[in-house]
Amino acid sequence: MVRIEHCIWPRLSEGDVPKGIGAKCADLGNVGAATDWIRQHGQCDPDCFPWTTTDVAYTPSPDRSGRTVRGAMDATWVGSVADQKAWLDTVGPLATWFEVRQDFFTHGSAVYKASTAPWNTVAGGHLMLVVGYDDGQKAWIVKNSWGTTWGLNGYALIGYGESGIDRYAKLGIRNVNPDPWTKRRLHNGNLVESGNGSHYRNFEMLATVGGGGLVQHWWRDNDAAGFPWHTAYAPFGGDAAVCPTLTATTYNRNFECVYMTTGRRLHHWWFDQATHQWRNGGVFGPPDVWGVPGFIQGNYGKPGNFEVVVRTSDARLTHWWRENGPPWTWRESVRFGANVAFSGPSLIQSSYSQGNLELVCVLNDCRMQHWWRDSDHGMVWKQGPTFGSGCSSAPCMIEGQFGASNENDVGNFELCVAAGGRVQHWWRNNHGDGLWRRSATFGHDIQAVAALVEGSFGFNLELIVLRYDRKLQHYWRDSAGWHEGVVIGSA
Amino acid sequence: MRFRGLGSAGYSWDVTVDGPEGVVGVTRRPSGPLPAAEPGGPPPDNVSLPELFELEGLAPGHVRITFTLGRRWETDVPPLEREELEVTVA
Repeated sequence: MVRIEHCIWPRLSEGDVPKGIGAKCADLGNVGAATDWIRQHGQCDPDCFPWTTTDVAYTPSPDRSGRTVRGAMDATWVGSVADQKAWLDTVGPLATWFEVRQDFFTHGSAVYKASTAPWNTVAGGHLMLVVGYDDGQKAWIVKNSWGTTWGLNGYALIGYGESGIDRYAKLGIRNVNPDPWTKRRLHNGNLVESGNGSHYRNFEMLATVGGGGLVQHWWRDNDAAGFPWHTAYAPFGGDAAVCPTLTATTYNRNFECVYMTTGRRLHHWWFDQATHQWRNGGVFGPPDVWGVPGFIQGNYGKPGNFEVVVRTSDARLTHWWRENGPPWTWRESVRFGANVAFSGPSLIQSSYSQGNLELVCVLNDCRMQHWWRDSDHGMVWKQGPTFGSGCSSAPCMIEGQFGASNENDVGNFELCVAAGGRVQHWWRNNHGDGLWRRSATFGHDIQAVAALVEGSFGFNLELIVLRYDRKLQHYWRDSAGWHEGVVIGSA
Repeated sequence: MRFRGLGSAGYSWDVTVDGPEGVVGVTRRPSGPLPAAEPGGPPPDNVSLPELFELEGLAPGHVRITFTLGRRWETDVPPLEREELEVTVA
């Protein structure tokens, strides 16, 4: 349902719920009780708590609260076969009970019909996910939880009414709330899609206030008609030289931001979800910062370390990181690169390998330069290709969902950069030749790209730009192309 | 012989008999009904049933019976559990 409602492939642990409930391997217990437990506690990713075949103690990582899909999760029992088909057509999958017999373990591609031989005893009651149906073959299409080497790559066809599959009602859920960890590659810059709102998809944005050093929290009500923008909470900061780079973290889904100060250092702030206040995380970094920082939470440690890359006045890039445990100290990792004109909110931890760091900066010759840090081989920053021309400000980059075929796959990189008062949209095909291509040029009076998000609106790309008149404006891309949105306010 | 079941996770017990044929017969038997609930309503708790094998002495002799718990389609994975039984029929 996360994929259907929010256009994201989530990675969820199959071990979290059974062990969280206290069930013994491999008896989950009651599907209704399991759903209630998920509604109360969420469901985490496998790196927080993995599936095991043994009855290990339930010891999820300490930041579990910030890395669980949750939400109201309206659970509905769907009783009749006709209603179940209608649910599959219009809503999503259904959990079903099923009587497992001995011959189901080696079932292949045919429509399953249990043997009536005496040896074919009942091994247990089982739960699977119905993802479709085939009236031609009179069969449900189910996804099992026994790995991709079972059945048809983990799926099977089961005849209508077979082995009790239609004996009981099937369970569907709606209204799920994906976590910041799941969404972490899908946003960059001063905008995130949060879990706020009844559909869990409000936008949150940080912007400077009239160039005066204060930072204002904005939000877009994505439940209301016309999607109005509002300001929220008292401005904070007082020393911001640029729009902050905003993210949401596994710390209780807190928002966190880093910006360059008027004194040419870096300043960290965090929004405490428990008290709804922005709190000062302190000034850090070198004394010669000169650019918009990239800022992410990575997967080193649990909670994952923070990583920042920003341009310095010597036209290089500096990489800083904070180990997210006591004493919470920021450290410089390395300086690299040369002839850098602009750094921006382009730092991501991609799905490659153990999570390579990737960024794109703009060079003094107005071309873009791709850098990546090989996390498997010495964590060394390596120079990628240069591409584009005429770029006049910092680029903004995400790893999106286009090109990804499952939750473990890498998506294409999407990048927007201001050039000659317009926006250039570039993308890298991460399943083909790996080359950067420009797909569109659009907009007007644009000084810089402030944010890029792939949100819950049908895989649309959402863009925030800073115009020459210091106004922030929204653009978005759907299947018909890029569209000019509202002017939000001044920065 | 009664073993804990893990059928809901795809695991089942299989048996091999090493020794002369016709000494022992091994037959898989049902181990009881599953929990039930009202048809058309929410399903009952899902549980794995224990697995039962009935051993019958057929003729004098000695065999080794090996029970293994595994997933039958994962042929390159060692069994999760293994039980061996030396049986002499006098």
